[in-house]
Amino acid sequence: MSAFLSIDNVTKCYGHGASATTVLTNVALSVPEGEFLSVMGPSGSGKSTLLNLIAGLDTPTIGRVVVAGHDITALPDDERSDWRLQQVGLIFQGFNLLPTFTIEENVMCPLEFLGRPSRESRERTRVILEQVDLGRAVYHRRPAELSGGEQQRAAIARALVVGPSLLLADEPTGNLDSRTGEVVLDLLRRLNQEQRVTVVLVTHSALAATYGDRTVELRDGRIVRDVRAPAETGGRVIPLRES
Amino acid sequence: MALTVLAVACGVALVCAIDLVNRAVYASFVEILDIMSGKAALQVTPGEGALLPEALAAEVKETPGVELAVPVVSSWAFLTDGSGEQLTVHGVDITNDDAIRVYEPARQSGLLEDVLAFLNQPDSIILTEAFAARHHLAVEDPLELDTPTGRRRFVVRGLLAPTGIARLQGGGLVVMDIGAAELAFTRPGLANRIDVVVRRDADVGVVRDALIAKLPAGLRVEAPAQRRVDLQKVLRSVQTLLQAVGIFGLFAAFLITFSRLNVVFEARVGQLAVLRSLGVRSRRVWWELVKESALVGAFGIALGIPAGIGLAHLLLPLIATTTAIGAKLAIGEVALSARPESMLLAGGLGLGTVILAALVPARQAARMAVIDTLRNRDVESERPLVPPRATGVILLVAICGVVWHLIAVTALSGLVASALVTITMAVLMRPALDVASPLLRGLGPGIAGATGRYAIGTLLRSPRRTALTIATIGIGFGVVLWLWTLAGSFERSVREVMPGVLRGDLVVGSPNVAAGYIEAPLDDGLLEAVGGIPGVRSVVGEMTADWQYGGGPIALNAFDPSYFSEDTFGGWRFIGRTLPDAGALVARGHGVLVSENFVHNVGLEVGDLLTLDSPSGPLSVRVAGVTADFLSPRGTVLLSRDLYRERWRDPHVTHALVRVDHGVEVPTVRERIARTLGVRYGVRVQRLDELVAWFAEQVRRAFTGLDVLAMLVLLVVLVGVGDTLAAGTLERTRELGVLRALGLRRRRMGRIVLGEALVLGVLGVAAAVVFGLGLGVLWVTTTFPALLGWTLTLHVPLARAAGVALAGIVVCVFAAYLPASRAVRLDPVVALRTE
Repeated sequence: MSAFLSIDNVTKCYGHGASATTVLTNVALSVPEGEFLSVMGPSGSGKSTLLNLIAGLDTPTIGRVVVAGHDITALPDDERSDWRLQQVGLIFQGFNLLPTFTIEENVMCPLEFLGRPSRESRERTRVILEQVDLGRAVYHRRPAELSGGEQQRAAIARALVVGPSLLLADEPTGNLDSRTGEVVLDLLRRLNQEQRVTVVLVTHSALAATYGDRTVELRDGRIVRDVRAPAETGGRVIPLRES
Repeated sequence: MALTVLAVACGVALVCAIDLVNRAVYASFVEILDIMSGKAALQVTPGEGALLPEALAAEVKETPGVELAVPVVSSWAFLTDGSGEQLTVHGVDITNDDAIRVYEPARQSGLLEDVLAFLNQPDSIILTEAFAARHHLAVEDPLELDTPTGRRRFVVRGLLAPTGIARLQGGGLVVMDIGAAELAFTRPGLANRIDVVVRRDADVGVVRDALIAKLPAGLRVEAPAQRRVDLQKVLRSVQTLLQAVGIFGLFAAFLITFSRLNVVFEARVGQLAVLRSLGVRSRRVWWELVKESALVGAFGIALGIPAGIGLAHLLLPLIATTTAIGAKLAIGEVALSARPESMLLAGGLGLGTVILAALVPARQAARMAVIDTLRNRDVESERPLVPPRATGVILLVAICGVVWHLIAVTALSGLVASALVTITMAVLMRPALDVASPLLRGLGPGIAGATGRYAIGTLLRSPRRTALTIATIGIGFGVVLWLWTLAGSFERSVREVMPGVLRGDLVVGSPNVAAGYIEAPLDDGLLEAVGGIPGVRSVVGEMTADWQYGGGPIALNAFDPSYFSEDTFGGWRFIGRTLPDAGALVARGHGVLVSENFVHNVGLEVGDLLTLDSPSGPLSVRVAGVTADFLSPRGTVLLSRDLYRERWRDPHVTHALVRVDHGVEVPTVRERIARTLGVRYGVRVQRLDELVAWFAEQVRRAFTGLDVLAMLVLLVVLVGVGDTLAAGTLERTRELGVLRALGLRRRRMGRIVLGEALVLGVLGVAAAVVFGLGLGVLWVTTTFPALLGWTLTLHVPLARAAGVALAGIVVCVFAAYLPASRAVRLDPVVALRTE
């Protein structure tokens, strides 16, 4: 299977000279289209940095990130932004919904930034909100009026509303209780399977990581393990044990 | 807090500068009065501009208790070098050593050794050393001066060291023998005043009463201290107006400080909640916050006072001009000194402003419950700073204040009503914003899509701060618009009224300004000279003078009788009814016309008997009609110049109005007059429209300070809007990071901040237009006539209003530059990590 996402020997350093810190060292990874990849590792292992590099929010010191044949590290900032707006859905641990916008406005916001007509945007938003099991009752509420699980589902809806080819989730269950976390992870899994969206999930939870087709483990900025799900587990990987 | 410090500094600087300049201008006028009166305890005067017989001094001298009675010719002369530099003429009896000593001059050695030679040469003058040095003059050098009787050549016969009267500002003094001074500046035997030195053992009050009883009616006997009181009265209106401007500057600082402290305290409620949970009482927390604010205020004051001294140097010539024009006074050099009382006043008001601005936000922050604190971490407190009931009360009080002003029509009620309207405008901004919120939320995305939605959403997320910023812009530009409306109405009124009073093809007058905007008087021999020039059909003399009536200043405007009785110069524009044959009545000296504001301020109407205390005794005349005139804020009496000359013994004219022969080109006659009289009198010949334009220019000069004020307002608005936007972008760092992560281009981030600035600018300008024009209308129609006396025609300066609107929006956009740059440069990875 050809790689949809290719991380070619990426190294990321912060700072200069004696104070330089290397966060990722020579990371190489290839993700086929439609794969659900879990990136696991302890705090400070470089998993969020890796996600930022994939999202084009940051650029590697060495190496490149290629998505759907495009070297996004070589793109100018504006084009990277455009690519992100059209092709990438981002989900954060802290939901990061805009507090002054209603849920509907929050979800609709990327479509508006893309310049889609208002009516079309609204219809699309409602379809997506239904997909993430958020009913009409929440459309006109503000984020602070919703539970954590509902907020994260709204954030997922915002990430999906433009129909991205790549969904990047950074600790999406970190602020949720285990039950709600499972609901959110089920939703991501379902979307991956139904819509064939490539998902990269960053987590420190071994349980969350099992939702992926494949799990890579990062430690001190290096990939120390790369596990694919055996067919008998129904597409989910066996939890990695702490080594 | 840096922006709060800057706002306080701006407000303090403005108050400090205005107070310093006001005091310096007043001190300068007082110094002239004190120096010119010397040791004299009393002065006998016929009133401003009028003359009295010099021989009266002997009668004064005979009064018990009088040690010396010195007749003085006091006038002005002007350099003919084109600079128009004014010199004070002091004509006394040079042969009388006692009289000279009244003014404490220190004679230079060798001066006036030959008094007879001095007296035998009527061109003899004495200058001060300072003036002579400045103009490179020495004894026996000639000096040409413009005098009322024309351009004259004098010879310097002596120099005075800088003591006593020679200390007069810049040494701009000419001392002459009284005989020669009468020839050049009054008429032989006529002086301007008699300075009276009272014996040490005599009571000044008793001597004064004796003089009043003894001298002819119409003459005034005043102590120099009384003249100071009169001066204070004359200056009070202009200085009150200027102080009001300073206070409005401080009010803008209050709004910015209030807004900023509100944000700062809310951002720290978490810390405060910790203190509260440790057991610190809310009152203690409140007090600590107020103390902290006072410290911030102290920094602002420390910056503002030196800035105020600097600003005072910048404003000094402008305010001195405004005061001189407004009060019709001659002003020379004004020395500015850093007076502690001005600094204390500005510092005290600045500190009071900061503490006042801190009270309510500190109270709210100190009393917020811990649970509220946690719940509202990212959102501004929903509670309005001014509860709805209090807002209603403030609105009601403001309405009552305006109604009271409309009924009472006093300066005090006007200032109170204006202050109340300003406070109400600031308080009402929050509910107004709440009402407009749905509309704005709809308009934002409609106009600029998600960018507009986000910009509007951000502003409405902090309605308190947004409302205060809009109020700051509204009040800042509103004040400028209000004062421009006032200035525009004044200028328009002058342009409309002047052609109704001064009529003719040409006007001849002095190119020199004697006091404020009034041209120096010329001897009425000028009229005959002008009348003799070919092409001149008719000449009318006009004289203006300040006088007292009913306990206050008025103006006298005297015209030759034919100006009232004949149609050569066109008819008068009367307002309302007149007495039958009013023109002839005035021409014969049996009646007078009065100005519209005279009727308004004094209360006399057509047909009433008006009694003026002329230097020759009471003069009773009938009010024959009412017309518009702008000479005095309190009112003008227009009378026959024959009557004026006879009763005031004043042979001068301010203008000669000229009508040219039919068929003769006006420019030809103009050129002839200038050529014939230019050398002898140094006159200026203008068309009437040019004179009116010149008067309008004087009005603009009087309001020049407004441009400096406008610049200060721009600075304050820049600070206020910049503050709001900067605070907004700082608070939303994470959100802006989210937007970047979602895929927003950098420039679009900048456009969001610019959008916020535009919304603030448009709403602020809208508030400014409503507030400024509302206050402008109130002031033009009611307050200004009550404060200064002039009755004005409302003129809305539409071009300037458009300029203010544009400037307001441009400044807001400019203020967005730094916050927008920050938003554009934001690193999304760092921003997303921000708590």
